[in-house]
Amino acid sequence: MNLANLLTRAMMLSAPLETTALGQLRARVFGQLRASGWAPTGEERGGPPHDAKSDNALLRAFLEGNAAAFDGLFNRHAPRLRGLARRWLRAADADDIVQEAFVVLLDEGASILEHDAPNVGAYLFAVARKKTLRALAARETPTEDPDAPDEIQDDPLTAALRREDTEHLAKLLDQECSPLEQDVVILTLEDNKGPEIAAALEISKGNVRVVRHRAYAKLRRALGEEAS
Amino acid sequence: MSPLPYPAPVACTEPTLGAQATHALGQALSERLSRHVASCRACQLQRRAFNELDRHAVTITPELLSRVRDHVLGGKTGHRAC
Repeated sequence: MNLANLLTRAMMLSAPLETTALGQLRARVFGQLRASGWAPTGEERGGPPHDAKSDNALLRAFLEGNAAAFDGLFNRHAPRLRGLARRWLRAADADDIVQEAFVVLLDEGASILEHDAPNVGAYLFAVARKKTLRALAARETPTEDPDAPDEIQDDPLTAALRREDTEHLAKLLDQECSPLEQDVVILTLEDNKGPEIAAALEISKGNVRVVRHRAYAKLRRALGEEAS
Repeated sequence: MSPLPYPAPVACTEPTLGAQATHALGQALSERLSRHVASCRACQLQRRAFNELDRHAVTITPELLSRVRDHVLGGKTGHRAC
């Protein structure tokens, strides 16, 4: 029975959809890493589980071509990375994020191990989060929102946000906004102008306005709900 | 030694410290980094998102992983599964 049939059967056996998708993704990332020049030593695969090994030991073995070490790293980190990307992206795009994060890890792994106290989980998370932001920025279309103000510096919400303690603001942004919206709001609060924000995030000035307007609407609603 | 490879958040006010803050995700912060994170909304938000990763985690069944592993070990790697 080929893999596609096995996976279909697994779905029919009531395996959660996201679980099945992650299994497919794992095989796909493995293939992509091979295409990127990684040469796994297959005989290591299927051996004892790597649960007890540290991320650093797994990364070192992974870079040396140990396929079981890839399994270990993937099993440990992919579920959370995919869950992170899936908050804002479609399943296929979230898969791309996870795949790209592991390819970057393959490229930069030696540099990570070169420094004191390597933090593989943090690295994968930061790469995946940044790529999620880029994916969101790339899919933004330059549509004008008639309700979006040209200048938002005097927006009452901006003033309200400035008074918020940073922890509360971080909580609201994390709960209500995508990474792209988060960065637009933060850069605005740091007194960056539209063109500067557009350049930093590689989107158009019109998109900055639209994204900011959308984020502010979400925050305004959340603040209103808190107040009530 | 090369610069820290950890990416700082895009909106971080001090990217060098931001890279160090990324490196320290999930760990205790030094006094210097604590001061930076306390004043940088981007780093604070990143730290919060990292700490809550488990909230969005997707689990994998051992059975399915075993099947995929068997398939890959069968020499059919390098292709998309479906």
